[in-house]
Amino acid sequence: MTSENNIFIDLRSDKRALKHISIFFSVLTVVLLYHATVFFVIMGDDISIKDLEKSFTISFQEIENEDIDTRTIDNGDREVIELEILEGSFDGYDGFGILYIDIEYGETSGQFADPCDSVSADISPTGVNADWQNENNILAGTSSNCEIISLVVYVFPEYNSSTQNVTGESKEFWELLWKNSSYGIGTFHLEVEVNVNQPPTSGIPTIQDDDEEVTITWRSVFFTNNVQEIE
Amino acid sequence: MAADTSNLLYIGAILSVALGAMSLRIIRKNKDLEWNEALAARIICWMFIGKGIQNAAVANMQDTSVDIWQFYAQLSSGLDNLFTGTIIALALIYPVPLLRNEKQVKIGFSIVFGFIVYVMLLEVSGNPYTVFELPGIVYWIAMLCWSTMYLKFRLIDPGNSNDSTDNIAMVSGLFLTLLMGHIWMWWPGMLLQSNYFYFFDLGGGPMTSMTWDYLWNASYTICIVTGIMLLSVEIYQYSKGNGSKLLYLIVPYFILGAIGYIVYSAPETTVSHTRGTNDTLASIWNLLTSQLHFTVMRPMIAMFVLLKFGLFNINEDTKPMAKIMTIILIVVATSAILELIQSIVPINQMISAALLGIIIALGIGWEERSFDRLASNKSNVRVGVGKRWFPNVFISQKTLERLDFICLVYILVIFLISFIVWQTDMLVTVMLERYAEAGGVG
Repeated sequence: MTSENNIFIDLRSDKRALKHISIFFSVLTVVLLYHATVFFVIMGDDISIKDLEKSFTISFQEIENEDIDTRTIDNGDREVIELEILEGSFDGYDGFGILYIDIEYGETSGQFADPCDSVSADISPTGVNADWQNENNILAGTSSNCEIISLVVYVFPEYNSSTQNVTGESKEFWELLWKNSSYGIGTFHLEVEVNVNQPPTSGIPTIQDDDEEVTITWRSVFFTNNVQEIE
Repeated sequence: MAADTSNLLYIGAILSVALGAMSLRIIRKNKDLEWNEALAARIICWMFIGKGIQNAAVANMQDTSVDIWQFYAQLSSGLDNLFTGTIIALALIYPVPLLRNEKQVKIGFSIVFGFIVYVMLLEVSGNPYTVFELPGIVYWIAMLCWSTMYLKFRLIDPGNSNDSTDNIAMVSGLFLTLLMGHIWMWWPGMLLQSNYFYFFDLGGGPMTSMTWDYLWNASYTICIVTGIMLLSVEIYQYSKGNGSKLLYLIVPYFILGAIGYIVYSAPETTVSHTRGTNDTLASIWNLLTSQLHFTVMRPMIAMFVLLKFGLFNINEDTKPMAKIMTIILIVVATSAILELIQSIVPINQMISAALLGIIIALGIGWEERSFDRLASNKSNVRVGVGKRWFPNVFISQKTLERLDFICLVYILVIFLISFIVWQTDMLVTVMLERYAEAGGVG
């Protein structure tokens, strides 16, 4: 085959080009050997097990913060009680997990045989970035027998206090996934309405039950995560 | 960040398909090209039409959570094979034809086409991502062809050096940048034994064997060595007063690679941006470097080659469309980059709108002046170079049209195959098998 038909003959006959091409391919060979050594020997063990998915257990350490607010609400009134969570207020933790709200009241009129009033409470899903769609949330409740109304808002998505076992990704990935301070920042709005049930003696002009004292306990659960690889 | 990555991919898709299709229209009218240039011009157009559709498929795959991802994954894979085929074919004939007669061209192109069909058969028979696909072969062949031509003509004896030899080296370097630029940004990872380079797993976990991962990783290594060779030669020539614009194109890739090493090696850092979500710094860096190379730089380099090296016949008839293409490139690329920056850095929308206006106005102003310069001051790769480097091979117009037809049919067939793969859950089945074999959990 003549050089007109074969480029290799052309390249081989050009000593200058051949020298440069040879140097390049020699360097390339050396680097490929280096790469193979790193891939199979130096990092070989780590690379060979990288496809085996690791499992992790994720547990949570919780701390509760309690805020108590007591109000006297007039009959028929609907009062908004707020809990403001400022940015940085749980800096030492990885996230805001759950908010428990207990609305407590008794019959405080002091009248004879005065029955418990009716109290209803609901928390509006606005003002705070939380897991409002969580099916375990209890966002509203009523009571007419002086029992405590307990509401629950799951703030951090998927958080339910319990330890989880997960597979795949890395320790850092799961630590990062369970660390986010943007959930729970803002103002929770709780609306409480009181409707008094008059005592049997209410016909007497001096005996009236026209309000009720309500105590709201906000229990904010903050958490820190602990991710451990399962050997 | 997944949303932003897919946004950029959509932009890349629009750019690539629009430029590819419009270029093809212009090139089909150009009957004056030499045989290898006519083939190369068409191959570049189909490369970008395929890449554009592939970008859109990848973006859709990222945005979907149901089993239709298999359709997009297979579509992406099939079109990536087209990209592989077009790059290999291009490297064999342009800027200097390594295939020197009709017989060699026929055999060469048949082997390339046969290889694409072979890989397609491997995939539809339920054997995707195996070593039989020869992972990374595109980088090996491109390196062999273009780096040989680059070294031959860039370091040619000064007595024989002329504009054409410089231009051959320039085109070879440009295509190497187009193909390998994103990999050059990983050079410190390869040399310094970083996890982000050696743990790179294109197939994702047990989908690919360790041998497959090695072959792919080794192909990245040859790309990095090729990049370092280009950089060294360009610096050497610059020091001798024979600098080329290629140096200014290559240097940023290597500088970004050095910065990227710090980013990828740092502990995972979360960055908040204006969309209200958090991302790791590494994912943002990847978006601003590798993804931008895929979606913006590649079409720009291809467009430059088409315009500068005479693959377009710019005349009164084709000039308006060629100008529209450059304007599309400027406007889409500028707005994409600004949108990306805005998604990370909180720039007021009014300011960014004004900036966009200014940049586009400057870009179009630049286009007015530089377009004419590009179109009227074409670079040649043939004048003053020995005739044996550019043998005459007869390629009929019918053959060229047949090439267009084959590419179109291939794309349609890939759509059909992807639909079948999706309906038969082929990829899910393969994934489950391989995860089970690896002992992991799917």
